[in-house]
Amino acid sequence: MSLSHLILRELSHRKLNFALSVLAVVIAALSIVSADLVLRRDAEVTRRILSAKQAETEAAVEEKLQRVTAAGADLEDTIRKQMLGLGFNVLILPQNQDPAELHLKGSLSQTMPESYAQRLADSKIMTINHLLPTVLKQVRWPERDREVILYGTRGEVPLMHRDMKKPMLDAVAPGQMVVGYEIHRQLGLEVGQQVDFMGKSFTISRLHPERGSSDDVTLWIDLGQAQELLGLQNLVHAVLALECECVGDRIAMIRQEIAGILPGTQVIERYSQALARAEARTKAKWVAEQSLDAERKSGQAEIARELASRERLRREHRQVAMLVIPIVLLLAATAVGLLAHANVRYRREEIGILRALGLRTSQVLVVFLGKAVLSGVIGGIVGLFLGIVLGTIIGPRFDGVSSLSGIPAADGVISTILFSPGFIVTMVMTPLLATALATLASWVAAALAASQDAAIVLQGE
Amino acid sequence: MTLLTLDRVSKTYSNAKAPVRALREVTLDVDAGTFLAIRGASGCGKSTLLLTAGTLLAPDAGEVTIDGQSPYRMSSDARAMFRGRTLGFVFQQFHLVPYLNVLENVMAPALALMGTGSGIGEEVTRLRADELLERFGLSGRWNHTPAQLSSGERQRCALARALLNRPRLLLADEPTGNLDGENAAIVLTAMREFVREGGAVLLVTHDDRAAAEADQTLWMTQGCVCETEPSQSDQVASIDPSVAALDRAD
Repeated sequence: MSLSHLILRELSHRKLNFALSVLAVVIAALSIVSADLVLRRDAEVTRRILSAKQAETEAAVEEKLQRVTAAGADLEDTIRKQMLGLGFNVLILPQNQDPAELHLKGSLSQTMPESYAQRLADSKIMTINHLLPTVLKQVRWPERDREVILYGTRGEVPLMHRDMKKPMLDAVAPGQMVVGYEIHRQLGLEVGQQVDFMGKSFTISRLHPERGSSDDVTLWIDLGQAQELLGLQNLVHAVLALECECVGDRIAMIRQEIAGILPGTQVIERYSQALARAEARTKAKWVAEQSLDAERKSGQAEIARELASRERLRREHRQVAMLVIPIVLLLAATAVGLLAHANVRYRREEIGILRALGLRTSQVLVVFLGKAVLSGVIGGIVGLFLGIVLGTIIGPRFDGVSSLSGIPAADGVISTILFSPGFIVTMVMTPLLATALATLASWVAAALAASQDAAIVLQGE
Repeated sequence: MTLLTLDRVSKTYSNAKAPVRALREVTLDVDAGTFLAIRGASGCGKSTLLLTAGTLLAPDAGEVTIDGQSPYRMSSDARAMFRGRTLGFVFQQFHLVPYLNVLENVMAPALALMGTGSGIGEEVTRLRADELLERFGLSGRWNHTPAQLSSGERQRCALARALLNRPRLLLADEPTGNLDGENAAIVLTAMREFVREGGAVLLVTHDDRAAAEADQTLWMTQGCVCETEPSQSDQVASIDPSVAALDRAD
């Protein structure tokens, strides 16, 4: 016979009182655990959604990055090939030639000896290829009554120290003429047609397609014939160097090299289609990078919006929990306290006789608090498990995952939470808190029982 | 050897209308081996006297000495332990714990001595309980709850419980009040047996049969103890409604 035996016998005798106490504790524990589970679920689902969104954004950015990188690589490769194949073009002009004249009129007025081209070809210059001595002058086509640019070219001057290369531009044979787009379009010229130009007869050997440059108003003829028509025997306006090869500050290198061979000349870079394409691709790459950056920013903005939305949801859940849980705890504590009080009132005679038999105050306290502890432990454990079940059932109703298609946010979330350190603490603390709640709620009743005067009870009989 | 001494013990109940003097300088000695009966009309203070002697109701004045010790000078817990060790109670209403069976009710007083150093251990308690059940004819009913017992069985169970810790003094408040003749005889015989073994019994009753078993009978009237039976008019006059309410079992 022990006090615990006494407690257990009383429990089995007054089952309803004990069951109601346990029920009150169960409801309190259940509320705490389910609320905790829902809040933890919120956090876990939020973490998963954001993680998925982050991964999605990173994948999209990565995909774009790969596309841009591939495009960039292609571009670089293209440029490299173009620069390798075409190089870029430079014009070697007399020192006193104003380049603005070329840019404004498409023609040149100052001359230099044609032998300069040969001097360059004979030198061991490494930075230029394909030398084309040229006359280039805006003239009037008297027979057709219009202004044209006359381009006299004789073909490439071979570089003596190099292997022979395939010419970049074909020479125009004497007596033949190549006509730019605007000229042949406006004048209705055709290949094979005979035309007179400045008193000389030429056969049209080729019509150029539209280039969108001064080439469209240019006539190409043999250099010697051009020099003769313009009175510039053995003189040229420029030497065009094609497919120049160098890296870094290319024009500076070329200038330095040519200055050593042809003093009294100047070198300007001639705009080329390859360069235009390279610039266009560079711009395309820049646009792609901008798009990539926009994609990244858009993804981050979406993540921020999602985070704000989830935070708002969590805050609402927390506010509800903060409101409901204290009320539930208060009601549960009140219920346990009232039940304990009723129990004490009902057991007044028993308390009196136990005191008469010699039970000490502490022993009477133990009899009543022991019951409270037991109801707290049982209610806490049962409430814990029911809370997990309830939280598992109602959790998905609150996490708003259904609106996010394709994100497996809720899969296995409960098992993740159940084995998380935070929830393990909850599982340990819930029975302890429930026990504390039941004990504290019963304390007043137990103290009343312990201080009950046995004489009054026994006299009452 | 004097087991119980009440030396000019007084007890007054505060009442809304007027104070009620339940005990008026009561002086009383109960020796070991003595069966003392106190008789009186309802409200004369018999139950107050019994509870005061039973260390459950502190007197306003005077000294209570039990087995050479003054229980009201002890702390509450020390007095409870002293009570559990020294005194046994039998009430008219039995006061059995309803959810314990007969055996557990009889063993209940052992709880009072648990952890005090004067406990008798589970096995000895069980042996004593079995002996008492056998002695009071309850062996076959040990597993029954009080609700399943007759009045006589309940009182025998209560008596067995009172004797478990082998008290020196047995305090009985109208123990035969609810019993038939046969069961009353069993209870009174057991008390007589207890006295013969060296204990003392203080019995308050107005049952002639019970009083007849006593070695000595004293009378109470208006909170005073006297050796002779008071007149009928004194007895009627002594009935105070407030004390009578406390003694309504009388």
